Amino acid sequence: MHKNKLILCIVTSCLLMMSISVPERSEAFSNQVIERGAYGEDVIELQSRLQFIGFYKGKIDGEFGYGTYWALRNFQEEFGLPVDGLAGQQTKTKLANASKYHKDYVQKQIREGNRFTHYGDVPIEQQAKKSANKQQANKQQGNNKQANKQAPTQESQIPAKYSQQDLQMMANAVYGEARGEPYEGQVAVAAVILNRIEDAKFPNTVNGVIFQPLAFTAVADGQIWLTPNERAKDAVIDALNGWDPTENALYYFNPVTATSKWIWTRPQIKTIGKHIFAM
Amino acid sequence: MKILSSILAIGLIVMGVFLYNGKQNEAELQRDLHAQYTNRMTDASLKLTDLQESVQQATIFKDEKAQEEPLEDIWRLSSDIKTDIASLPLSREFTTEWMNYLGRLGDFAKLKSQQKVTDDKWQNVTAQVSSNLDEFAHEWENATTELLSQGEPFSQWLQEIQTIEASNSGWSGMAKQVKGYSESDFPLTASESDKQKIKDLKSIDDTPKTEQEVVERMKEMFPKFTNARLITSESKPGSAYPFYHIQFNEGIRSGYADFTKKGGHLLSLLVERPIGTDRISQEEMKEKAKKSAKSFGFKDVELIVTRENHLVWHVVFVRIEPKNKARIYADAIQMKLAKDDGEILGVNTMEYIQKEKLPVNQKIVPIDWKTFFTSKAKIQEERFSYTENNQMQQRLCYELIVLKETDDQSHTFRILVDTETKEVLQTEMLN
Repeated sequence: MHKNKLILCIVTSCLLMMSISVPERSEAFSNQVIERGAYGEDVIELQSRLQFIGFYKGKIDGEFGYGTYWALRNFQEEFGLPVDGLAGQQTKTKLANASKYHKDYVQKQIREGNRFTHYGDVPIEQQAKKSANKQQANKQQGNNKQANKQAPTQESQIPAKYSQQDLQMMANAVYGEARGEPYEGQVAVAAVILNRIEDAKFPNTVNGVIFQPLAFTAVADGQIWLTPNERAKDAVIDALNGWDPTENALYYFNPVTATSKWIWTRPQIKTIGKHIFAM
Repeated sequence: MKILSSILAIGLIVMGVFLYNGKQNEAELQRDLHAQYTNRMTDASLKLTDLQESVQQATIFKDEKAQEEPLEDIWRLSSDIKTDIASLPLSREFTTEWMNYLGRLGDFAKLKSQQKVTDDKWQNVTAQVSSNLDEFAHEWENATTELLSQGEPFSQWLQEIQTIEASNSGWSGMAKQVKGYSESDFPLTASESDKQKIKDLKSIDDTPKTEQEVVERMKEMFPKFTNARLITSESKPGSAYPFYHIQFNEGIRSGYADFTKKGGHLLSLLVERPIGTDRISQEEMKEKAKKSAKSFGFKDVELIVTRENHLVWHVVFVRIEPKNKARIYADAIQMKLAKDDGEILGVNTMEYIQKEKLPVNQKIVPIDWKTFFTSKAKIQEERFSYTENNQMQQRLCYELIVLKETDDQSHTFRILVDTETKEVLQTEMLN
């Protein structure tokens, strides 16, 4: 009986010791290690907390770019942590203890598309500025609740040489031109726009190519102004990231509806869905 | 009476056709105008972003030669934006204020390029200009993106941009902002160089592969598609290089893969499937990407970029030159991975298949960065890499990651400087 009590005491003590020695997990962040390239809720919290104690001066947008990276490294250096630019558990816990995060305030500003900061030395209500596109943010949120659950920011991460407006305009063009096509066909239409930008015979900007007179049917018949869906946007993101299912095509046409004889003279490359892609 | 009725009926029909045609023409004209205004508006937004970047670039170089291009860009872009704004039906007051501001900025950059402005004055003025432009560009892009995305009737659209001062308008505040900018500060421009080139795959001289061999290769690389339903076709005669096009379908997955005929090299693959709600960690995702690259036979590459979006990760690998460990940016591979389990949903090797021709015995001349950059620019990382110059030749470069911090902003630049000629081949502002 005494022996059992002794064992019980030892086991309890061991468990107690273990619970003390395990680092306390931050209650705020998720338990994932995040680094440059990451995007989403965790990054928003990281940026907000770093800004609260003055390390981060940039926009709180959920994109772990260089601005966040340098701020995190400076924080790690000042707080005696290994300086690696990775937000792991130890760094997150230290940061959570050293800062505050007004989650509701931050999420609200992002949802409404406002310009705002999250500094600890200025009253929080003085740090937000209503933005022009509140309506848009609300509208987009309503349109795509699922996407917003996972991605609280409106922007997508795309290669640095392209802008969010390029993405928006191309998604409109792809949706207007190829919404009934397979995914490959939608990426292909986006790739043709990008191939034209690189070709000396065409304008050198996205909107220049799209609005070139007589270039796209969707511009002529107004279908470019339809609201694009997520699939069209994803197709554009793939094309911006380098995919080109057309193998360098500059033109495409629907053989059933094409009225131009000239288009049939172009060297053809491949057919995707209802479109023939050509040089 | 009958004749009169007939004439009346014909007259009505003619008038109806006439009116219908008139309406059609009006609608067409409206669509054309809509397109033209949108084009101008988005053009101005992009140039504004470029201008911001150029202002930033012009503040990091001390070296006069390195500073030439950003100053030239500021002068050129401010003038271009003025032209765009002038052609838009915006309120006259707003247009005048904004055009004056851009004019002053362009003139100031011109003076700086002629060495008529001291470095100190340039730094002070551009710091303010830069912050003004950041603010303005953000508002402008928001307002224009909102207009572009709403798909509202043209008349409403037109009314919106014309009532720029209306209190509930998406444009409110911008006109006031421009007025608020001081008389002594100015905005920026950007370089439009597009260094991306598509490799000439015509010159591959590997042994041609049969359709069956290529299908086997695909199944070997992507075992998930061993039992997939395949439709294979060949490229049409107009293609610059012959390839096989394989479309596949396997349960919830569908997609395509292109392989070169010569050598059977994978050109690209894309898979579409629903993405679940589970999420793997970034570290796990990177490991999966690296492991896949190795298993595909891409053993001379390094993972350099990861980009997370709401359902997938995009990653970029580049070839590493074994002699000097330099990155060869033109020999890149892109991959796309699902966020739920890290499955490879895309591979693009179009640029990687053929190796770039690298310069032999290029000199490496040391550069004193203290005299090259202003005191505000701090070099954070330095390595070698290859990039293309204006003559489309690959050049060995010092690749620098430079940080410029002020009290309220920080900007990071990636700068590539030729190791022999000291020419700045690329300056890019990083997010």
